[in-house]
Amino acid sequence: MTRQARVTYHRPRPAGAAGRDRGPRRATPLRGGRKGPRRGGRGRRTPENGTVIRIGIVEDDAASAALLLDHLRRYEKDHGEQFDVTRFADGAQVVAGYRPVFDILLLDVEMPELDGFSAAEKIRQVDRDVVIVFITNMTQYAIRGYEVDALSYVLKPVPYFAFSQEIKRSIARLRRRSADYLLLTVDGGLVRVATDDIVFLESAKHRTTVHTVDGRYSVVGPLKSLEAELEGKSFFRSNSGYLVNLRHVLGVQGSSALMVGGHDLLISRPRKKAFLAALTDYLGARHA
Amino acid sequence: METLPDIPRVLTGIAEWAACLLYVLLRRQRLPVRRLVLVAALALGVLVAVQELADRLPLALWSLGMAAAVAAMYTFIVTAARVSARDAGYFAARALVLAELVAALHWQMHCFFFLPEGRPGVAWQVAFGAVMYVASFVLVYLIETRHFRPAQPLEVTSGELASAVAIALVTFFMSNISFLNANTPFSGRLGLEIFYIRTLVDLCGFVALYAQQGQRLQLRARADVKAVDEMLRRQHEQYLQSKRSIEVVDRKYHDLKHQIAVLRAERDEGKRASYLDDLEASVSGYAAQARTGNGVLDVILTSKSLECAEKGVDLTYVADGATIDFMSAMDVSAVFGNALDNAIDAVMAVPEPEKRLIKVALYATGGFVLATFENYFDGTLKTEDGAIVTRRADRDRHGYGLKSIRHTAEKYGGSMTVSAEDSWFALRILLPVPATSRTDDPGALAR
Repeated sequence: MTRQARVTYHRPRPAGAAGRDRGPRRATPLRGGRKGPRRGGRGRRTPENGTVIRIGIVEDDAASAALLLDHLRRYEKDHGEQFDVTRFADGAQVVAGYRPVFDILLLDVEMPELDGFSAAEKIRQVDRDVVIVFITNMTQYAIRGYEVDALSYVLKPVPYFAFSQEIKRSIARLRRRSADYLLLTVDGGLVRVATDDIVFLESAKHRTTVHTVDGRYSVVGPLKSLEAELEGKSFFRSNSGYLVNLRHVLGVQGSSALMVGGHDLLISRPRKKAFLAALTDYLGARHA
Repeated sequence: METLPDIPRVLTGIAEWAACLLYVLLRRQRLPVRRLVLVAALALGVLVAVQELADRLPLALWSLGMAAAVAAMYTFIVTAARVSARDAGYFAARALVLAELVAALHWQMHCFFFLPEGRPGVAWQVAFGAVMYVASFVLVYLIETRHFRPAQPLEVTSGELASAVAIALVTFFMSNISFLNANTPFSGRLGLEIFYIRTLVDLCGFVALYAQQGQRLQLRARADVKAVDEMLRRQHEQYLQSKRSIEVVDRKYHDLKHQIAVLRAERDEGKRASYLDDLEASVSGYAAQARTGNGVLDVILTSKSLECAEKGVDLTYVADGATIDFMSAMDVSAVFGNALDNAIDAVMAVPEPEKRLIKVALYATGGFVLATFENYFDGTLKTEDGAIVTRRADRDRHGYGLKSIRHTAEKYGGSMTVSAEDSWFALRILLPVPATSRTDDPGALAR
């Protein structure tokens, strides 16, 4: 149970794949009649500045919900954002017929029917991407948010400043997810690959082998030029021959990095410290 | 000009052997006596033989002969004293210089007393040599015992080893240059004087090595004091925390006694129930104990949240304590204690109480454990001294805290980074989960 919910690596599908429905749904309680507005494809994923951010408030106490709504309205004004807010009076309500249309969910931990934590676990089974923020009071201090990839929470009664900071982070986290692509020149044409899907790039004489989660491409051109194109993304040159996507590093053992797909790549000695530091910042910032 | 005889190679061999033996005897972890005697006897034979053999080599191969002698000394030390390779190297460098010094000093005096005509015979010469050697080595032993603790490993760093080796090599070559080639700016030319020059250069080398060891000890002592200081400080904090807890319990106990008395006296069921509710509410706050799955972490988080509550700091954490089961209790308390102290110090510098926010997260991702400590800070204050790290009154302790966290992270093969962005300061620690304590099956990792 916990392992399913503890999301570690999510792998967006390449463009064109049907946006939100990934594989068979596991949970039964989440089927239902409620039809939320649904946008096509990956539309929800990358709210740019100016687009509407969809927020769900799940809170049984009306006064508390009203306070959150006030805070959200104030935030809209202060930061020039636009929120589309829906309120649910219990965890059971949001879970019933849940559709992954929300960008952010504000979940009260203590609710009469279905508590916020159990609701989050159910939601995570079908929606790995929605940013969950728990709202709780002192007495439930020790929340196990890591099990549902919610690594911070706000304490009741919710003060505006702390809340605004949490919303700011959540929005930043949404915007970081913007998908982008790399055009690869392979023999016989061009291939478009999502940068998130690239596991690592390997230098091979005058060509570069691009290892992705789905397969390999042999690209004309040196590693250097691709490295320049990926500048500022989560890639790190772990030695002269490899450019590694930090997103797909599963572990580090001695002087090699374990990658998705079972690759075991050498990290050159002088670069190991910088590699670990880059990985620390990448992983630490990704979940923040 | 008369040609002076140089030190007989046998004597050089004996001096090297005695110098090695001296450092071996300084260690408590050496071989048992019987085997030590055996190894020492063997080493004496080898060292003398190497010297004799080196004597027969042409001058061009002189350095080869010396290298062989040094290698033999190193082997002797590493076998007999049972020290690490680096420590043995450190000892070998010192032994080489010491052997040169004693041999040179003895030969200088020997030549002075016995070389002119009509001086006492071989028996006297041997006796003099024996007394000189024994006296010198005993004296040096007494001096060196002050600088080496027999039971403690030296833990020489590679930098320290390198400088000791450099001192030894420079001393060795400078002292011998007059004998290899009389035609350099550094070569002595006058009879007995060149013996004196050699002794002096060797003495300088020995003094330099002695001073180096003294400095090492001082540095280490200072680090020890700091560590002990830090520990005492923590213990003191723990004590204050316990004291506060006891006071709270005392107070609650008195309150409870009165409340129970009131409850007993109350006949009305409805009122009674409402009193009980009040009672429950009044103690619910004290259930705010951290339960993360790691006992040490629970203690730290609990005491730090109480501290934060007192100071009006909003500390929230999401922590999977089971992920750091592989860390020792000391390390957990050092890392989390230091990181939280830093964060608390930083937010206390923020004037608006509602902005004193600290967020802590500890979780596993893939084969890594990540700990992040984030705190709001007043951007204007921090940029004053350029660096994003330190700007506290208690600068010394603060710097030490971060260093200690980095040190611990690196000890586990991990890494620590700090960054400041958008008024938030973030301290991030990454630790690779050791292969043995990895609980997830490989399938889960490769997902």
